[in-house]
Amino acid sequence: MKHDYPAANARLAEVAKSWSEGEVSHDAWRKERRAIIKTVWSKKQDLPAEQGRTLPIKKHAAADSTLTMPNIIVPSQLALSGAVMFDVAESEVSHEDVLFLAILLLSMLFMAVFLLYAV
Amino acid sequence: MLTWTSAEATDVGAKRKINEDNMLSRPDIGLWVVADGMGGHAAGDVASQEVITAMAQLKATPDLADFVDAIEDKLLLVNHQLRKHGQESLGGRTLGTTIVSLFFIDTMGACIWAGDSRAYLFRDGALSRISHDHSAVQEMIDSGMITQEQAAYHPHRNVITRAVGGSESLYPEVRVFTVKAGDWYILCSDGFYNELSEDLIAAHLVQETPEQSIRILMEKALAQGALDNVTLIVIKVEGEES
Repeated sequence: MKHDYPAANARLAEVAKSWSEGEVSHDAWRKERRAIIKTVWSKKQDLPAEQGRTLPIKKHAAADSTLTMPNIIVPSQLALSGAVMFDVAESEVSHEDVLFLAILLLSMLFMAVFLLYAV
Repeated sequence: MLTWTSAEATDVGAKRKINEDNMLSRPDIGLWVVADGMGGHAAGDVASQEVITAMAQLKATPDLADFVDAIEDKLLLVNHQLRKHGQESLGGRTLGTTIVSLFFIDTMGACIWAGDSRAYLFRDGALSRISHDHSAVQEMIDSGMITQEQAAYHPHRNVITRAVGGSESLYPEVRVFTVKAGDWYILCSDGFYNELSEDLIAAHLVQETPEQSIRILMEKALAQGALDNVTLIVIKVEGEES
């Protein structure tokens, strides 16, 4: 939601990003988060600029507008940025189906061996 | 004085054999959670259930910052437990779950999430997203590589970048907001929002009761084909001025 506490939420996102990128510790993230939430909670209004900031968070460099970007980014490229990827699309084949097919294959194999030696 | 009522539903959908989604509704303490498990049978459903069980143990607190800390503690603990379970009992298999939670204290609320399950707010006739997906396509949208429309058909639309149990470190995100009389909130798994556009959700959300909203929205999502599990919680906020 963009309209409620934009400064506080921007600051929360900024510190969370720094934590996920290893720039600040979990304790530092928690301390900063508590300070932000407590300030907003007590005053019921947005964070004033620079207030409640206990951590110096480095600014991330803005992208160079002259750069041309590829149309598609592959997961391996994203993984380089520290993201961990999980493909949640799952196979529709269940374990029971796999087991059934394995038993069927084995039966056919035994039948072939039997026919080979019996005939 | 604000009061809230909620209703919830989950459905396995038309294609999946098991429901890996789980949910928690605790309007008595102002807490709602949706978790969408991944990893297949005996993994995804276990992961999402673990998160819900942990969140169900939370007790009401009058301090928003304390509640955020308590939720994060639970998520980090479950993340560790799922990693351990995957290593020790599932031969190194990864089992994980997304999580999106909302909680209200007085006139303020907070959303904590990891993954691509979503929280929405409907206020003054407009639907807006509270959470921001931790997904590959969302990163591409943010960097301007693709549009929201292209994301719906992108080959990596199922790839998420954060999940409870997904990696050794978990980084849940937090957002705070004001709770107002007349607000409607939705928590849902991707199986819901992939079936219904935000315009359709907005058009059918506001009904007499959350139960009616759930019934109508779930019917419409299932009618679209429901390729995935569908889970939905609707919260209605009322007050003296509403």
